[in-house]
Amino acid sequence: MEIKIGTKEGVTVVEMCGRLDGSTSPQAQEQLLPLADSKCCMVLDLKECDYISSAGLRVLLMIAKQMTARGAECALANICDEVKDVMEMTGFSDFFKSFDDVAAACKTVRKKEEL
Amino acid sequence: MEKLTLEAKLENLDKAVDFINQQAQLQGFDKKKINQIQLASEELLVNIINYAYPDKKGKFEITCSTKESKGLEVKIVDWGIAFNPLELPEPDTKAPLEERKIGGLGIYLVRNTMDETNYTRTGDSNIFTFVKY
Repeated sequence: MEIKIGTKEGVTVVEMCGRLDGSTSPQAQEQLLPLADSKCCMVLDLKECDYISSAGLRVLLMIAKQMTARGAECALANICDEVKDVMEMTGFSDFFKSFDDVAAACKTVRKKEEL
Repeated sequence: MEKLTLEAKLENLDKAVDFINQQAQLQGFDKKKINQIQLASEELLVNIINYAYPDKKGKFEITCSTKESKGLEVKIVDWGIAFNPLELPEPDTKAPLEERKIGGLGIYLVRNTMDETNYTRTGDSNIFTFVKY
């Protein structure tokens, strides 16, 4: 999995390219958790991610817990049907706002930051 | 009937899932079902790789066969510690974030995406079978 980390208008935007599965989740955890600890809100762009398993959900859960605990927010953008199905089946869709594009996601989490 | 035996280690996960994926494609499933079959396979295999053989090496064996002409049956056998994943408590998918735990989600996904799931312990082997139509 390739993880590209950038910022867009003050929000951390992470492009996740590849499968978020048992093989790739340790790497995702290592790269994403430090970001979830910083004070910025975050958007995960899942345009290039068409597969998630419970190992990937585990990483997302850790991120959501960390960020919520300190009043920040993580939103998802460009989520595909396959990933969406898994998120809905497991109730994880309740923990993340989901947007059709990165700009809309950034706009929402930035509002949260300004509060 | 196609069979594949591999050492139970994380490096072999992709190879094993690819093998099942190929069989699912041959069976002519659509993208959504293939994705679900991959997911179920991964969840079960990761469990075996992580927990079946504590402190020692071991193998798993995958057998794919056609079931009632349009279904795919996947049988995964390991010879590790006895473990019936179907006995795990169901996760509370309605619990609030602070109370959510990750345990049991993998097998929950297997149960919810496959049409049949079955576990038997025979001699020193764990045999897990799932079917998708």
